[in-house]
Amino acid sequence: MPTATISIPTPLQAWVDGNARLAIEGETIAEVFERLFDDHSALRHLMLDETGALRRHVNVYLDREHVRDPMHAQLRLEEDCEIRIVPSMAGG
Amino acid sequence: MTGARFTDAELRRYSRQLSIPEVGMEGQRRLKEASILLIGAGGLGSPAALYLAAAGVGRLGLVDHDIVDLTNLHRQLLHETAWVGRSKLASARTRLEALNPEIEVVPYEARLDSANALDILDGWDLVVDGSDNFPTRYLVNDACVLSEVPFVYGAVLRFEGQASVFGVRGEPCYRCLFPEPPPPGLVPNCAEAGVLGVLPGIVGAIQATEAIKLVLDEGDTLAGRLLLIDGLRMEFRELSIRRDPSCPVCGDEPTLTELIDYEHFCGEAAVDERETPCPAIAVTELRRRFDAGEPYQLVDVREEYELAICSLEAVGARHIPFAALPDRLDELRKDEPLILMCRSGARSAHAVAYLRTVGFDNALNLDGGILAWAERIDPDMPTY
Repeated sequence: MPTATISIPTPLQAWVDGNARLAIEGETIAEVFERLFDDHSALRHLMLDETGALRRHVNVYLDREHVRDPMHAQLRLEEDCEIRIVPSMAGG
Repeated sequence: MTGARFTDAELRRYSRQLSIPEVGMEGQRRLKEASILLIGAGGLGSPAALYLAAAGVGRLGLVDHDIVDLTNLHRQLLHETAWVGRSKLASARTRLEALNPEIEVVPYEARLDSANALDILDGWDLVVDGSDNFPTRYLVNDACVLSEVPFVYGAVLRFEGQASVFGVRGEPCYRCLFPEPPPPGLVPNCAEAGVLGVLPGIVGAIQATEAIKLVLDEGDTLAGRLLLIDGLRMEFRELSIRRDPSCPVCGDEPTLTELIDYEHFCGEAAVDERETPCPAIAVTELRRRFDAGEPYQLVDVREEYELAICSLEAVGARHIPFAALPDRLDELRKDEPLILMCRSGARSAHAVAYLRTVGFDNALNLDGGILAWAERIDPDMPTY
């Protein structure tokens, strides 16, 4: 099973023990996120709405490409890929 | 050569960039004839305005309505300690005109809103967005797309930054990337989470670079790309952004053809109707329960440094930072009211929502947070 590196943005790092990166196994992005949420349950509330869809101020990228609807994307992950969570920020 | 002419002093002032092939006399003329509007004279607006003024952009507009505050000065380098308590625009204008008296500074002492945005944007070539809140972000996007004025985006938080160029015809806009704002409280602002003073310096300088390139029509801009800056690891990453054909503003069949109420869009409207309403109590009710000796648990989910400014320890508040809640559920009881509080009531609303998903049906939000307490119960309490 491939291992993906998930890059966690600043606002969410406190919810994953301060980590900026986590290595998680999974065949798809949804599998990787389910494992992430199993280990860090509060993150599910921060990233997903009550229907289980990704909140619309959050984007997920696989390497450089944007993934729409990552919780249902069937794209197969490759070894050493990078999943990046990109939420909006407003500070100026 | 036609158009703007330069004095000897100007030629000397700009000599180090006139010698760049991509600038030269033609580029410098373009800069002198350009007009760039900066939204916000704060953390991002400061470096952007300073560099654009120094580069010789002929007309610089500044929109802001704030006064200079001591908490601004670690990052907002347009302003000085002597100007605390005075208008940011007056401060910025003084600084920019001192830096480069050859340019014109046009101040708009106003809060950008739906009623004035299109008028203010009228006649400007380009916008640099240095705003600090979501309603203004969406307003700037929509107003720029509707006015067909490109804008350079930048945002910062702690050690992180983002930059891009939106509103260029055929390229994505801000809504293509972030269709909706976060529910209130879910993404902390700089007042809550902090920002390293240097970060807006980096991002604002990137915004100025992009603005200059757009004026010069040189190089590859960030249109269609999102630049992520991680100052802690000193990493720069570039991600692609695609235009969304169904985007309500720049899509194939736009449904948003005039400006809307952005406070509403980012406030009540941002709370998904499918989400469970958050049960709450007022600060006056908390005070009554305290005075009556009624049992309750009061949990302050703010960060340590916020507690140092003000706290409700005197009425029994215990400190459990938001992110530590999942690991400290065993400290909370289900047999008496569990009141969550933060600065404004937004973060604690999410703490309540989370606690209810793990069985704490007794969780309540303190409406308005400690700011409401300071306003209605204890006016002498310091706030931030």
